[in-house]
Amino acid sequence: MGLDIGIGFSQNENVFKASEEAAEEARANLDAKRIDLAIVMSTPHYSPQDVHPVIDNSLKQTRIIGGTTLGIILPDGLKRRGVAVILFNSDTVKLKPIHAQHLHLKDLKPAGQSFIRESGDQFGLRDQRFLMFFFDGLLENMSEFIHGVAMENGDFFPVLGGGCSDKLMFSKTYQYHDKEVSQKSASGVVFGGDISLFMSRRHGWKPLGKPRLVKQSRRNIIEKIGSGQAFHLYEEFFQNNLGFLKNDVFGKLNSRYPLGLFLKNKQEYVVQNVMDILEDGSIACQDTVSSNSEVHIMIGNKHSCLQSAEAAAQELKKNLDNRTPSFIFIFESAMRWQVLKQSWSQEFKIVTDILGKKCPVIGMLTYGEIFNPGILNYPGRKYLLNGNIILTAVV
Amino acid sequence: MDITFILIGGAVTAAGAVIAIILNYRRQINDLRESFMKLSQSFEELDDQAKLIVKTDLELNKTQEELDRRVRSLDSLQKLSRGINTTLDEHEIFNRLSYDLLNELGFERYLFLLLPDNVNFKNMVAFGFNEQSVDTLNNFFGQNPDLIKSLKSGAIISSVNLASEIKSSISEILETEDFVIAPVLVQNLLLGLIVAGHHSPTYFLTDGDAEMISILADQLGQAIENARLFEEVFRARRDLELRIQERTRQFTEALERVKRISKNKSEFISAVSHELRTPLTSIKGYASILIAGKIGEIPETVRDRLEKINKHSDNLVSLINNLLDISRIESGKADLLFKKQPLLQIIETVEDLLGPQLKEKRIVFQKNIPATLPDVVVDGGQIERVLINLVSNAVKFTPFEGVITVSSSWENDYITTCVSDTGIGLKSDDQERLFDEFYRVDNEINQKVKGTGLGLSLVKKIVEAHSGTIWVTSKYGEGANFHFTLPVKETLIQKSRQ
Repeated sequence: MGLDIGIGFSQNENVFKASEEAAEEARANLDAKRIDLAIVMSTPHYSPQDVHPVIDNSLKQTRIIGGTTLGIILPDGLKRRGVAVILFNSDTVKLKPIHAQHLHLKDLKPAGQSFIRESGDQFGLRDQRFLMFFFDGLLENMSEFIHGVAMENGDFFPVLGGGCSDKLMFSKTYQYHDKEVSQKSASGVVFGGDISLFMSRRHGWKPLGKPRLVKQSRRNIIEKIGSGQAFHLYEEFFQNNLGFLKNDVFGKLNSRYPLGLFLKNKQEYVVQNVMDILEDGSIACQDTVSSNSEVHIMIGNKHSCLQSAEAAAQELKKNLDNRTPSFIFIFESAMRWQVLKQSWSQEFKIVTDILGKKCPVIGMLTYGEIFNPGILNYPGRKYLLNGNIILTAVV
Repeated sequence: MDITFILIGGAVTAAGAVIAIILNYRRQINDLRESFMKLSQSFEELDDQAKLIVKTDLELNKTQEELDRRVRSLDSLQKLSRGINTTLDEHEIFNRLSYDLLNELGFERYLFLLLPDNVNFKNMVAFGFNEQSVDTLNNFFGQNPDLIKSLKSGAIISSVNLASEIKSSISEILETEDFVIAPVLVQNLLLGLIVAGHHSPTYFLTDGDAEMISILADQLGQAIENARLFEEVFRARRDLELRIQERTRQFTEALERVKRISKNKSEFISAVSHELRTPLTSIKGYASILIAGKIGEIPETVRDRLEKINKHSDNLVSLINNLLDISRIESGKADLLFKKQPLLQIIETVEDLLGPQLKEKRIVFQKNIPATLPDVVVDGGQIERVLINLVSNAVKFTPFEGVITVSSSWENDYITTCVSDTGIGLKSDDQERLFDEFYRVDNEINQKVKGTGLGLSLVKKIVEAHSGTIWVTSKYGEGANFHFTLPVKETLIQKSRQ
């Protein structure tokens, strides 16, 4: 077996017990003398500052990455509360954990470059297969960081990852590093050696109304759409409900009516959450938005989300071409969960029914997902998206 | 001139062509403008439609979300109720309060409190709250007795129905913007509280949410009451079982003591009887020699005395023999020879033996034995003794020309035989003690006829040695009926002996 994996999970009310139980269960399930990497995920009910030392102590010298999330995806479904530990061991796959902190104080592009450069010390550029990382989902313009990674390793180097989330309060998220926990940071792992990555992605939101042009923008801030302030777009559509939506900017506005940007070269719409509405009526997004981009208000519902999940699973199945992965990791937008709620289990069933149950399916609910398989479909640009279900199979 | 004309003509033609082209372009521009206007209008219409869609979608989603939330809440409430109502262990009730289900009731933090001492609430289960919250809440309730009074009356307090000052205080303690505190009541007694809270900009507390918590509190109260009632019944039953065990132990000890005493008694009787019989035999032998005149003639008065000695010696021997038999049977030393044989045959032997006595009192002896009666497994000699005893007793107490009947019937592997007479019968007090050793009924006949009081006791021992039972029924003045059972299968005797 190329890559062995052991999963542990606990919902014990006591954070220390939950952390220890999850770590011990994962260790027992891995059943290996050496642990190469631990991915730790915890819901906001558990203080990451309490979770980390217990797991670190329990797993001794094991390298740790991970973060907090609104929901942990495990083979038996979504856990809205708990601590999960996923351990890896392999003799043929190289795993190099990397970390970057205080990103809010840094120029993100060079920060991204030095982040990925850290892994080069262990194995050369040719040996690096792909990067998977967790970052603070509340950081603005995180796409710059990703561009930094691309500048260092090239556009064809696959990068995948997800923004750590909280309980939809959009106030704090945490990332786990080897010896500490921090905010405004990124922690990830570069996979190398005898390993392959297969991915697929869908969102399920559709454009509404006439196309409008972004007339003025700077990086991730849309200042003007058409002739007015950016937020007038929402005012036009929601009229009396605007006050309600403004108060609920991260709730219904994002989950029901996010922004959609039309990518001319790909002939498709990508979804962008409204991260903030500024005093002057500008809209802050997660990714960079260029002037003259065509923009729409998007609409989605349970049915469209389920359809998109099915399409993503079918695409991944086709890409896998009967290969059995070591594990499947799902980066799923928290806004999808807001739309699906009870139907989330239906989506999970659709995905697992299509992909089979031969390997563990794990994942997390994210504030932003990175998609770039490094193949011809997406050259030259790595996108920090919203509203997606990204299925990644590691073979 | 011609050239000029031609040139002018040509210029006119060219200008005409240009004009025609210009006109054509203008027409195309107008067409395009018209198309653009139409397209623009279509876009605007599309936008209007989209706005209409959004408006409808908002309304639909709002309704759908509320409906979904209610369905989820009800489903979770039903699962929670089922969980807590299918255990009778109070601690397990709280263990079954799954967070995943509680979360669906619309709140993210829960506190389940009990009021064991009627003063302070004790934390049973907490999701998202800590012990400090419980302490602070206890202090707060201590300073606000009206709130407790309100809760005791069954009222729910929530962030919606409280005065803003109190609401702010509770919000601060619970660190939640929205909260519901529902009393857990049983028969108007405050058992505890459910505190549910939520802190999210996307959350708005509704009456329906509070109602869900209230229903859960009712269910919890019912479950706790059931568990406590069960605990009470269980504890009472356990106490009763312990008492029964103690009593059984005492009875067993007493029984063992009685058995030991009885054994000692039997051994004593056996030893004494042996010791008595030897000199009695000598007494009786010497009396017989003297009566026979083998030592010389004796005066008539001496003979009379010697015959009395002989007669009393016989009585004494009979008494000693009965005592010995009883003690042998009791100690299991008597070797009973069980054999399958017809009961009628034994009855007829007894009839023959007692024929003279029956004839002397002209008593009618009736046998009511069915021809199909199976054989009994008995020691024939001993059962003969039983019947001799019972029939001779009947003869003794039946007046002249009375009737003695021996009848048998068969049921469940046992034959029940009844010896009944038309004699003087037995008082109920006498019936109870009739089979006791040395007990003799105090009546006129017994005063005239000497007896040892061991006959019926020996009969009882013999019947019990056959794994049977004996009892008497009688109405004073209307005769007596002695019933005893005997087995038809040897296995029953073996089982009884084991």
